[in-house]
Amino acid sequence: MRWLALAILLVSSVASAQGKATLRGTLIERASRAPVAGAVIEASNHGVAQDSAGELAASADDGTFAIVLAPGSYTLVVTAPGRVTHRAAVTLAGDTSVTIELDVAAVAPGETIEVSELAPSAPGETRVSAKLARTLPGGGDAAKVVQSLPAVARPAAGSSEIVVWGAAPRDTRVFVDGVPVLALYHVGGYRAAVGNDLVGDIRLTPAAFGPDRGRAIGGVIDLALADPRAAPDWRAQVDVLDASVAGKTQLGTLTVAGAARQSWLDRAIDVVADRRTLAPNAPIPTWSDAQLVARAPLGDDLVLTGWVLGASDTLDRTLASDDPATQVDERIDHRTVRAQVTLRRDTPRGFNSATLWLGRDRTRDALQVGLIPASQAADTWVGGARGVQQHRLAPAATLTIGIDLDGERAALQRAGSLTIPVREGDRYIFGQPPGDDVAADRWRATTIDAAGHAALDLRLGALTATLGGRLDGWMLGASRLTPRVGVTPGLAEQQIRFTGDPRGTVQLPLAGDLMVRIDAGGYHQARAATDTSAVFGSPALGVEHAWHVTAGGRWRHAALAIEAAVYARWLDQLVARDLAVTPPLARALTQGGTGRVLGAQLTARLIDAHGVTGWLSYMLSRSTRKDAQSQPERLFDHDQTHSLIAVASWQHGAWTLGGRVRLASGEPRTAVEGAFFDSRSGRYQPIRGANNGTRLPAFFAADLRAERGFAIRGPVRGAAYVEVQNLTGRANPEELIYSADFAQRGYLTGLPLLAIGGVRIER
Amino acid sequence: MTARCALTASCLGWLAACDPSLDQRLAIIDQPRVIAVIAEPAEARPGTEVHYSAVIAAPDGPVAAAPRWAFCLAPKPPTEDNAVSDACLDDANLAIVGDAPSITGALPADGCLQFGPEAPPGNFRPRDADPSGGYYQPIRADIDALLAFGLTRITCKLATAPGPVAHDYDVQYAANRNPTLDPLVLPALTADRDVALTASWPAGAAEPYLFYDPESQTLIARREAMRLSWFATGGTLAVDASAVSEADPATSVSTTWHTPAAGPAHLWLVLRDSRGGIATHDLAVDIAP
Repeated sequence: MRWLALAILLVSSVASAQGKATLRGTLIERASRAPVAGAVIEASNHGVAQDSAGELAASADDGTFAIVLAPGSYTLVVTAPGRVTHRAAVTLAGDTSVTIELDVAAVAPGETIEVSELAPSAPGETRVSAKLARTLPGGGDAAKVVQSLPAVARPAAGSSEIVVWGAAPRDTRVFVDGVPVLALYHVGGYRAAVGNDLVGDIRLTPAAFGPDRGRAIGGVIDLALADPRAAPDWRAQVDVLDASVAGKTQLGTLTVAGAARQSWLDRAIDVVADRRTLAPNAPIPTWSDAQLVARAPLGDDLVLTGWVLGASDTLDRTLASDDPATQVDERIDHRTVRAQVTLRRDTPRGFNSATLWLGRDRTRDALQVGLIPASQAADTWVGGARGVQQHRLAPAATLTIGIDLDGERAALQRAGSLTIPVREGDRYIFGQPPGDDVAADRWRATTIDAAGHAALDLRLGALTATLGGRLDGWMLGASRLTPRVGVTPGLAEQQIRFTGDPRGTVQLPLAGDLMVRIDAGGYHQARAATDTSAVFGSPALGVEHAWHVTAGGRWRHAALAIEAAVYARWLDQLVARDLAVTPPLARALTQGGTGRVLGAQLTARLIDAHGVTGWLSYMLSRSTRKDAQSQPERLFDHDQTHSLIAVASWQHGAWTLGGRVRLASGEPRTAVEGAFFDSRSGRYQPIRGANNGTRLPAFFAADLRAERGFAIRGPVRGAAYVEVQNLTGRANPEELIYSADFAQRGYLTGLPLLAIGGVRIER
Repeated sequence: MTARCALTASCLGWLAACDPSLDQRLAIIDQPRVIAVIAEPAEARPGTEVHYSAVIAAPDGPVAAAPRWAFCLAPKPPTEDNAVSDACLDDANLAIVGDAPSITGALPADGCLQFGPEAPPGNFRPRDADPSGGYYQPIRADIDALLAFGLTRITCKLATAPGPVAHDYDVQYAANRNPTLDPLVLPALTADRDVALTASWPAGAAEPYLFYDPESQTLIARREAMRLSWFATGGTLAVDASAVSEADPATSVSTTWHTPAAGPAHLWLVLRDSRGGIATHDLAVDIAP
């Protein structure tokens, strides 16, 4: 937002000479005193926003803004993601400065964070503006910053999975404005599937989130689309990976912004080399995504917002081999679309909000290794509704209540080995072809969750507390209780369950700028529809459960904040494989899994200190699982004992530099202790050691991004950027690999160095 | 990029490179190695006798050894990627057949229950067939430090198919027979030259067979795919193996052998059909300077 603020300052200095006045201001969050970036400030002298130059502004990362106005009386309306909309009357006779304090909102349009205004962020929680995120290494894609946030384990190269405080990727849900999406990243993890240009705010809550959120036993990642009024008139960006365009238009009081992106990495590589020669093992997918966002004020306090998001990914490749038995043919085709509309009314004591959303996912994954096939396909309708009402009962008490309906209807097909796709906890040897005992199934699954939630925020002297809970009613169905045999009609599995999850928070300010806080709660999530096959899974699976407890303290002084947090999760009723030699019919999966996560995190954050914003975070973690009570405890597949990350962005003049340094323990792996010859396949097969009994070596990488902005003509500006990943060229081990007879062991490593360059033009 | 490395990297992002020092090829015999365990007949009903032999290749040529033969009695959990259960490595789960270069033993009578589609009483999950619809009885061969498993296809009734389909299968299915290889004919060989190797088999070696498709739950007529592995004691072979798909009527495959230095050398060919049948052929050659 800084560039916008600076541009407005430039305009204001010219306008002042023409008899106008400049209103300068600073936005801060009332509870935390932190600057509020990305807010939209409207100045109106008729009670209706005047959408003309100089009467609309956005706050910079340090919370400052400036608007040039003719002298007179105005109403300022300040809207910011996650904050209560603020209104103030201002009279300008000359240049004027104001400081505006914003309260944290429970729900805001274009914002998914629902935290009581009395309760600031939870231990380990991080919020980053897209503006800052784009300056950090990650290809200029805002949502890529999630992989660099504290509490997030270092992802494997090319992975699109997010592991938050020892939770499985599936256990952490990704929401866009409160709507769950299929995936945060495109296939291959190069880009965010939710686009880039219209992303406004990113928040990660690694554990112990509030009662307004459900169906996740890990963490929550919230992406808020930006207010379309704050979007540039148009923007175009081109780099090695893809090209994107974005723009907005005003139709009366309706503001519409749109963006689209199309990859061309595959074609770019073809221009310079044959991709099969250049990178024969490289899955180079194609991806595209598009977003359309609209906002219309329907009155002083009533706002209608809506959006449509779409994304598609395809990958089609053949990995030739010296042996046809290990030739790999892989095809991926994923398509997803989401649409939502939200109506919100602000009231003197709170707000009312209602959201309807609908979506459709289509996924096709097919793999053929030699003669062994494996495929999975799903066509899924999803939809839901949310309603939230917040009301301040008294100066020290606020009640938030809501309903949350979420449904999914999936038609699924699967063929191949039970061991593909690989599940967490499998004693999988990387690179080993899947088992050649194959099966097939076709079924439907239904998942409906209707929930009510409530939270009461109280201030008791210096202490603030949130007491709340969530009651979920689940209807879980699968079309077949047993495998299909001929045309015999099958009995369907259907179950109705009710779960209750208490959740609460206590926060106490100590001396000076020091505060401590404890959060705790219970969490449930439904089994995956893909696990309800009578052949490959179990139609009778229900809901998984977890308890979360986090405790932390924060000390803030000027631009520096230091946070410490300890966390614990206890997981039970986890879906896990039945490891029996002969499992019961239609019970290949059980809910006998349990897990435990313990850890601590220390983070120092710097907020715009001489142009530098960033964080340094160290995480100590141990995440374990048991697949059944009779099984020994083992390390979680993505357990990382130590994780250190430093991220910083420095803005100086036309230059913006972003840097990232990561140091992390290697993930656990199952070692190979020997091999035998399988005469039928003609290949050696591994004799495996203890499950996750060894680790990959530690990972280290330093990345740098540099961007230089330049003026083109009038309000049209451009920027050129270059990003270099893994500056030191260290060959980081990503997987254990073996010789054909498993007698030798080595590593699959990340490439030593990667550079990406591109340009952006916008108005 | 070698086969295994490509396969391993296929599951990872494009930012990956393999360790080139790892030997991903098996075609050059640089140490004693079992290259085939042959069952005759290739497919049999549980309880019937089968004759077993092992083909062991070494840098100096074929090795005549007397493996210790034992049937594995432990079925493989469906969660295992390996061809046999880890329990087959434990002597407690073995039925010893004897020690001899080749041996005849009766397949365990409960093969279709332990390794096939027949589920034990109590509503248990039947085992899954391989992509050709087959189930296999493992037999273990211990030859000093070498450990190998042969898998004998066992004839079982279809337990998970609709009744009429299972009946038709029982009546019409023909058990697999081992393929045969035509003798390999080579010209005079000289050192450090490229030589075309062509392996061929009779037209009937790739047999037609009846396959139960679990997806459509119908019987489908298919034809075996063939795969030929090449081995040599020296030089380099262009590929480890060559294949002929089900739809391809070809009865031969070729590759190129870059001959080693002058002296004696040995070649082996191992032909596998997609139902577990195996044929081998070996040839001693003298390479002229």
